[in-house]
Amino acid sequence: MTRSQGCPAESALPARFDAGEPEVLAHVQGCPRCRALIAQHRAFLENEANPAPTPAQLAAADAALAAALEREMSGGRAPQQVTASPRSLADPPRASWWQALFAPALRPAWGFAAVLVVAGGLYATLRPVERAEVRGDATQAEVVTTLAPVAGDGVVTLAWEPVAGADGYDVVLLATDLSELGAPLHVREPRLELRRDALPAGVTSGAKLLWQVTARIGERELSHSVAAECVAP
Amino acid sequence: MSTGSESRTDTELLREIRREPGSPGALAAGSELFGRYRLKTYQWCFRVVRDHDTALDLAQDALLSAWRGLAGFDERSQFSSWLFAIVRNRCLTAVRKRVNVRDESVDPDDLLADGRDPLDVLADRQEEGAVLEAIRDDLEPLEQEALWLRAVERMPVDEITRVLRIRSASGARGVLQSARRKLKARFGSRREGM
Repeated sequence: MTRSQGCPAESALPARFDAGEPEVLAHVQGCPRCRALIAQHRAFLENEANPAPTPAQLAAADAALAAALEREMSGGRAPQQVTASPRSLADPPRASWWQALFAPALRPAWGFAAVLVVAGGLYATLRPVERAEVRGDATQAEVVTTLAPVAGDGVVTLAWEPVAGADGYDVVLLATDLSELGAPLHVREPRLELRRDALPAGVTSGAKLLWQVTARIGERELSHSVAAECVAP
Repeated sequence: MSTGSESRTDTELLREIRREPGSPGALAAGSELFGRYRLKTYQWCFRVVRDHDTALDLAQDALLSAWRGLAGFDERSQFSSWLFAIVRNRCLTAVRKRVNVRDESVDPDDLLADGRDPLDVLADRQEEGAVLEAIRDDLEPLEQEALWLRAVERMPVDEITRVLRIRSASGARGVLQSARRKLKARFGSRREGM
């Protein structure tokens, strides 16, 4: 369902309402959607639910969420840290560490190692995905590092450091309230062109967006980037 | 917002996080800030989906998304309302995937000629503006809010009673019944044999 015009931004509404902004108060008086949102925000802060989760469920949830946040905060990158690589897309690619390793003298040994790796990888990917992985219990792969977007004429190019082992990437565009703007875009290479004539519905040129990358191998997610900023072309 | 007279406010913690991302101080501030809201997040998800495992998955998804997406937070807003918008949208996405179950308490006389619940007719409209227009003109303010929460956000009826603090014995059920009757008059009458 698309949003109606005229309502204040959802994330800002409660603060502006509490501050008594006259235009917000006037709007809310005539808008059931915004009144319902304010009531929900109040209920969210009051922390009451009925039927309530049991004490055991609450304790389990608290522990699980604390652990998941701890893993995310200490294992990945900090938020807002768009890795300020001095590289841009115009720079020549760096020689990769793996290119140096594949010198001619080492190739037979790598061939044998590759057989072992492929066999191991097949076993790993054919294992059923455990529900625990959804909860983040699995060890995280390297974080996807985004690069500074490059603006052109009617296009913005998003790019990121390639992730070892990934055979594709999903890029999701987000509004500043982290709601998704359209379906994820799948690419094989670590770059995506965002064109002005192909923006998601409701996004205007010049709007501030967030974008986030998920590296994949097949259907399996390897790692995520933190959400980075860009401006719609 | 602050949880005690000596603890830092949400805004102060956010500034600490942003001042030196990745530092021990920033991570401690992040833990404290998100620690204030992790149970509130879970409980909100629980009240919407009524299942511990689903609520836990939704809460984790929302909290981790918020941490990763702090770049999107505008300090002119409250952190709690920004986070709540994320949580609420995750829950809405989850409940909208569900098959819409008929409300068993609905009086058959309040249904439309084709047997549909007027609230379902409203929920099927793709533009929020069209929904708002339909309910503003004919319904009382409390009916509008209850109907919005039920039809658009698929909130359980007893939860609507609590969120809107409806004190009457019939709670939101009674308010929605009144709203249905008025919508039925707007959309068409069963007895008129449409």
